[in-house]
Amino acid sequence: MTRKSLIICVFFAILALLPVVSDDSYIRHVSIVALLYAIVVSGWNVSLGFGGVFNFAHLAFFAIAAYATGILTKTYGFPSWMGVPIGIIAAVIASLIVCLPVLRLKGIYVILVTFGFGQLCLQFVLNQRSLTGGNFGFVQIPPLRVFGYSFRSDQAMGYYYLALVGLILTVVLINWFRSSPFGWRVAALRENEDYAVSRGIALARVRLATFAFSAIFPGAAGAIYAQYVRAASPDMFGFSFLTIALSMLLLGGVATVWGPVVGALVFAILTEVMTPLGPGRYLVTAVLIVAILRFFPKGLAGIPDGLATWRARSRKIDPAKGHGPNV
Amino acid sequence: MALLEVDGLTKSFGALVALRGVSFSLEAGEVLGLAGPNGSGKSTLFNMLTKIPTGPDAGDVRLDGQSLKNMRAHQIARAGMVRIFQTETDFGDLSVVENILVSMPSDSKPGTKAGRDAAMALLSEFDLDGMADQASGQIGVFDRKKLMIATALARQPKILLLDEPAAGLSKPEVAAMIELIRQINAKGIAIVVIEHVIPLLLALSEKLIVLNFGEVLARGAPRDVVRDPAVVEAYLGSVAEDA
Repeated sequence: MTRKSLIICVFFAILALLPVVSDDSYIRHVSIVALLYAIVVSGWNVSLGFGGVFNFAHLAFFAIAAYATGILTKTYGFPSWMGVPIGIIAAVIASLIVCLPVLRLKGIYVILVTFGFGQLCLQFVLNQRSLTGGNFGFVQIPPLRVFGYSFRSDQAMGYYYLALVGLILTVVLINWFRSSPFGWRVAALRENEDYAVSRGIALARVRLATFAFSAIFPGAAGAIYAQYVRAASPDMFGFSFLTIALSMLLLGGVATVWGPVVGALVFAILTEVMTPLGPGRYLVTAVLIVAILRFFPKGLAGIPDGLATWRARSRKIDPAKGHGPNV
Repeated sequence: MALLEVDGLTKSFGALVALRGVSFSLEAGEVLGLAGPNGSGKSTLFNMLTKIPTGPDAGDVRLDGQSLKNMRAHQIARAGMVRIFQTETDFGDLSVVENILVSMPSDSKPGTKAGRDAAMALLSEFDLDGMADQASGQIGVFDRKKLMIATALARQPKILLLDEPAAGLSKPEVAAMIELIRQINAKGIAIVVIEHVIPLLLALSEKLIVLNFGEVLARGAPRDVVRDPAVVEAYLGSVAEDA
């Protein structure tokens, strides 16, 4: 077993043992939300990080999945175990709809259209009160229950492990994606669109597939979140969720498998640790993010490489060790 | 029937006519040289042939008898006409072998061991197999130029469009590039090469076309074309020494 594999096993073992060590309901709640954020942000990393497409509709996919799960399981009586499939299908359909107008757009125009899509969805939710609950949100969503076992029992232990399994699957899928022909095509289009097209890569098809693939993750997370908190609210389309997720992604490091996971978990822990500071904790968190990105532009995931480069440079210029140039 | 038939290609950018009714044909396995002063429309001609970034305003291109009018840029590459760009271009974050794998057609199964073996075999033809796992953005200029050609070959083209393959290379590297292009042509791949290095054009081309202000100024056997007084006046300034 390599050192990296060992670290990964230890990391997931710690997460798996956390509910055994602590059954505090607050810690459980924060952990579940952090794991779900890690899934959402990892999915965003597919389109924004690996694909280089400024897709600001990603959190709207999360909200759409939450609403779709809520409406279909509560209003239309679908069984609660169908929540995650419903969320994924709804998010993927939404991603294909928003992707069509941005197929051949670049940069700021992609941001405008994708952000506009989220606002359009928000207006729909606010105006269709009978269906969505309007600005009060959609509440009393049936909780997840499988073979008589309620995921809310034992301080929501079921939701914790569901989110953890979701995160493990996310890491496995994104690891596969990165080293698959699909992932190479996505990276090639990010690196140089004209060159990629000149090598037979179909821009429209690959971009559609990228959006659809990246939407699977907020789709699953949105469904679990809705069933866990038993509500979907218009806030989910707003700036707050978006900026938190973006901060997690930038803090962890884009276009890496582990960056978004580490970013989400560290951000969640930091925010909770600094709760006594009140609203000031957001200021401290922002300063910390800026400081980390100043010294490690690739985020937390870039720290090992950054330190290795720094060490190598230090050795080179240390005359006492005799490795330095003769000046 | 010629492998490539170009008929009356015209392209304007506002008031500027970049190409005006350019026509030529290319047989299978043939090497055609394209020369002309800067701004004469050579690279624009490649852009029009491959529709990167856009196609022509008028005229038609037929590849193997099939019109490219309704094809998108990636479909033209898949149909067998692949270009290399003037500056060294690569997918810098991907490794050298991944640059090849991502350029391979899906039926070559780039995600399998067989696909990787094929990619490594192609890299070894270009002496790049030793750096297969390096990020392509970290290799030297000549190696990046070779890699760009190798990625084009990974698509199994019928026609290769080379835009100044010798630009920025030293004399020994230019000689190596000429040899490389000969080897590619020996596989039966037709080549259209844009170049300012006249010895390279004379060494490789069976036909030479000189463009000036978007129009064909001269065409024919390379040694005759470089002696054409109109070409000497508009482009060369003096008769090419090696002609």
